[in-house]
Amino acid sequence: MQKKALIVGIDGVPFGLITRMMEQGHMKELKHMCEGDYTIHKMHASYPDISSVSWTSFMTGANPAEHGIYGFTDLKPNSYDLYFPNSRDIKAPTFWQTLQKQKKIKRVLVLNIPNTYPAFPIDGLLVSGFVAIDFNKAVYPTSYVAPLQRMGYVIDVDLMKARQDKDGFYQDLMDSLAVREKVSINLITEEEWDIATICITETDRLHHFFFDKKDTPVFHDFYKRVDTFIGNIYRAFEKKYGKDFLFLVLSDHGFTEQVAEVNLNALLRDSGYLVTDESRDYYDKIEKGTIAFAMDPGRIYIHYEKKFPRGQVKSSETEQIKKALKAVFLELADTNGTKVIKEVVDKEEIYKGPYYDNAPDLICISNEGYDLKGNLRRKEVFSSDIFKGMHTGEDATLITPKNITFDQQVTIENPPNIIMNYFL
Amino acid sequence: MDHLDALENKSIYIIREAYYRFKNIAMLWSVGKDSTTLLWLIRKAFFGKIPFPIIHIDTSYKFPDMYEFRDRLAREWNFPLIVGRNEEKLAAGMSPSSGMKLECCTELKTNALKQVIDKYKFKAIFLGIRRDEHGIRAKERYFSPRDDQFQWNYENQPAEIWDQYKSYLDKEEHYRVHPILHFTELDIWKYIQREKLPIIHLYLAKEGKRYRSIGCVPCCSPIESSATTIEDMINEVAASKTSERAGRAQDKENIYTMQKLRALGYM
Repeated sequence: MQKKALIVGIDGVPFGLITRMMEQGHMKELKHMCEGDYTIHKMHASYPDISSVSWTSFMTGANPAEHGIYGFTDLKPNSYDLYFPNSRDIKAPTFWQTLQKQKKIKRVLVLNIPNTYPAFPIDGLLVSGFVAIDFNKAVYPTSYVAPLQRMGYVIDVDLMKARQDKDGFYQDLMDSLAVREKVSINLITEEEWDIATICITETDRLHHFFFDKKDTPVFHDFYKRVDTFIGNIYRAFEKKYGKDFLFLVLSDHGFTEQVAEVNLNALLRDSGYLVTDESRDYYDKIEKGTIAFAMDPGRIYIHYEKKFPRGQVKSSETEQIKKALKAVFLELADTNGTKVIKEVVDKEEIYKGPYYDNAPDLICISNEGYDLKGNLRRKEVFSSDIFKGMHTGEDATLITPKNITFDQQVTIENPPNIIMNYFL
Repeated sequence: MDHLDALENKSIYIIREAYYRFKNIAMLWSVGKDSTTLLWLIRKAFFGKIPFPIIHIDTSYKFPDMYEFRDRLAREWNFPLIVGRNEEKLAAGMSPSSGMKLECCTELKTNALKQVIDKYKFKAIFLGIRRDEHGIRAKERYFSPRDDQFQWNYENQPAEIWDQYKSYLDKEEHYRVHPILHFTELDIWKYIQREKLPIIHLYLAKEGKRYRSIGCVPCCSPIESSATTIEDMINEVAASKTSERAGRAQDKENIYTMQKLRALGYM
């Protein structure tokens, strides 16, 4: 008999928070599951802990040096030209592509996973998630465009609304959950899938703008709704294929309350490591004399002469520069004297693969609440905006069948291997 | 019929048809060569007296010559001019050099125009765009519907064959009308030459450089050129192999991506 799998993504849901929501009775469905055939693990996100990177690691089972995605933004080779990596830049095969090639599975549903835009060929249906722009390019095959539109499907809520009308924005998130659930159930019920992968991204949006309300009904009601969503699609799948299928729930990173935004380029500028020409745009501002610069969130790039047009750093200087930069980052404290950066990770420790050269040289990991930023606009090191939450890397969530155990720390690259092993 | 006469006739037909259909209509004038040509055609269509307002969207970053040219022509040709500015964003310091080039256009052009359309409740806007300007503009219709969010669903627009134009509106829509869609860059210069139309001299070469397309100062770069007269320019354009808008910086999909990332606190 053909094996089946249902995978549910819950973008940005932290292990600590979801565990508490279950204990407090706001997530009855998941609680029931985790008391029965399933178990919950704390999982480590990708480096950096950004949705596009982490979800790509989930889809490919690979680290960024193998799949090539290091963030929502990157620079074109040997230039300061900003580009937005998307599905076309993913260099490693996805788990369903591998399984389909080996004829282990047929039709696959991939709904709303970030960094799948533009939609790419699949035997089944792929509907792109964030950052999808044109709906016609977000659906493969395109014959689904009209039916999805008729069902009122939306890729994402209007994020700008959070600035003007927070109550309306919250309601939009609830509505968006409802339509995503309706479409998911419709697709599961009406069509045949060997693997259905459905991602809920409303949680991440809620967290960005409402994380200060994590212990209030704002969150409780929302998590109840997410719990119902998961329970309903689980039952729809069970009704169709029986009890015996692989079921996973996972998030791509955790979240915590934001204390301040920390502009790493302002710090580098103040410390003499970054020189900019303000008459130019974005990263083209980087001038001769720059030793290093940052990109979102904590990616640090050394300004090597062989990698950047105006770079002057020689590779022989690497060790000395890394040491000096680490000292600058680790010393940074806010006005209360609280240290901002917990750890500076070297690329050598975390990345391995053919796209290693494109990797940031260092990754800064902040203490909870300090949201690291890599823009070149802000002149001050500490700033604030309307955001209440920030991503964390150590406490993503993974729910698996009970019989699956890990002898090492669980990372976002593990779930695709669980899926592969199940079908092989 | 002469080629330029044929182009002119078609444009005037569309202008009159649109005015008859919509009444509450206006024209968007960028002060550049194309929309100035359109303005001239509209004058011709109504025998010198333009029966609706002309909108200029002022980002405040246009070339000084453009403002001078705008005000002079408005006086000499005697038409009602509406100047639209996104005052709120200008007061907040929005500019292409504040590192926000990609949002700048949306706020100071698109949203400024939205504000004008909302205020005056225009049901249709004349625009001087041409099919040969840009790949995406080749897909344009003479009568091009937009929804209330300004979105253009180019894969689902009515066909325009045998000069049949769909101009029926749903409630929330407005129309963009493009009477010079069929002109090429070369046609425009030939027409300007024949009609002796005034143009901004930024288009003509000065010290070996000229602007082939003009807009806001920070976002336009001149091309190498020795064309100091319209005659020279016609020869140059006829021989050119690069795109007219190559000197302009922007890409729609990147703009939206940037907006979405900014909305979540990136960049």
